[in-house]
Amino acid sequence: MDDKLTVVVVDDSATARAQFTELAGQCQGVEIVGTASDGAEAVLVVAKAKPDLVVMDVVMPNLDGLAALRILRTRVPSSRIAMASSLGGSPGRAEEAFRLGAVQVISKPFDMNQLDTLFANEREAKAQRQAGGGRS
Amino acid sequence: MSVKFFGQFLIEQGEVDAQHLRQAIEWMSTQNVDLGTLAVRHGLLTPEDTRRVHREQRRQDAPFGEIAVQLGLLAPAQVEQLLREQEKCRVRLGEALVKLGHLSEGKLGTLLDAFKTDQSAYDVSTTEMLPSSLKDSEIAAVSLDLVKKLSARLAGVVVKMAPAPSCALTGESAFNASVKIRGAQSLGLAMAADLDLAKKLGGAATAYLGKTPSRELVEDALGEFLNVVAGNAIALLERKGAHCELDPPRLGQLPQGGHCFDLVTSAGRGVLVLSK
Repeated sequence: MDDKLTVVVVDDSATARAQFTELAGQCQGVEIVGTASDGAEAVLVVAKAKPDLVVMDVVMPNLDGLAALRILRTRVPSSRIAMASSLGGSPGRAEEAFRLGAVQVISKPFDMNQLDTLFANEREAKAQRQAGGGRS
Repeated sequence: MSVKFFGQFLIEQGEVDAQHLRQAIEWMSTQNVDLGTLAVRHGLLTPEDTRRVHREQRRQDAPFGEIAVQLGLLAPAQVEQLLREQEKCRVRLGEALVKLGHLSEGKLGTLLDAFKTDQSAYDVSTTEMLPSSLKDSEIAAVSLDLVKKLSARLAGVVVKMAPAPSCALTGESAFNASVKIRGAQSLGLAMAADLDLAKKLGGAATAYLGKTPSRELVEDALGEFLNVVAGNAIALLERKGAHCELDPPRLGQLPQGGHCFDLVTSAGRGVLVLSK
């Protein structure tokens, strides 16, 4: 049993990916196992890496985050997905993300406290899955 | 004649030199504090509380104090007290130059009047600045306003703007990004910025840029700043029942056409381009 929380980050912004990778690198027990720069690439990367957690931007080229979320919930149900957005408070978008199966909606730019909380919750969810032998 | 800050005006008039101006600005930065810093000094907020308010400021168009009250971090009376204290300590450029002995107090009043007359053509609301083809565009007026407000709130950058016949910032010195809003109202929002301005605005939007980021990262971060502006504009319209979508930022080249606005800022120069 591997205790590390495996994560894929999906964002068309190079700065957002770099910032996330840097912050996550400072968190113990978290391993970035892949990155993608749009929704279409995310579907491929996540299907291959099957991470515990995907942190995915909403507005992206080719396939946007909500469309990718819909596909990934069906194709890779074992990966839990948190949506990230730098956009102004649009409650409708967050509600839609939760309705489609996102476990969390977080704001960008990322910050350490926010990621600490997210990773702690996801570690707990992973431990429960492993203890119960179930899926997400 | 062009849109400018008081400091530039004083240099052009030969009243102070660049070194005087730098000294005054440095002194002002030690005297003028933002509301969050003041609240932390008084033990009313923790640094994490201020970060939380700043995060929220990316999502909604409201001052620091108002959001701190909304989040239950400060009471309205505490905000009023802090604002009074902030205003009491606030030093303006003219006062700083007088204090440092670079300008006489008697001359300051005359120069401020002359500056006001020089800049009267630019002392108009953002709606009045819009060209006739965008006069009825609510999202254009809101976006122009948000560029000013969010530059100040997120990056501490003061922006003055004025319509311009064309984009005066091109070539290698220009860092470019654009976003497109579509739906109930549509607008192309593009910006060319010099390195200083792009780093300042992009750095505030992404909280990541280091000292020597690559061109790609600077333009990417500038795109994130425009994302935040457009996202806030969309949120304001959504509250009125108009639904809009945002396309991802495009980097590296400004779209053809559009109406240009020169941006003269406390951090560098830029050009904003609005198109329907």
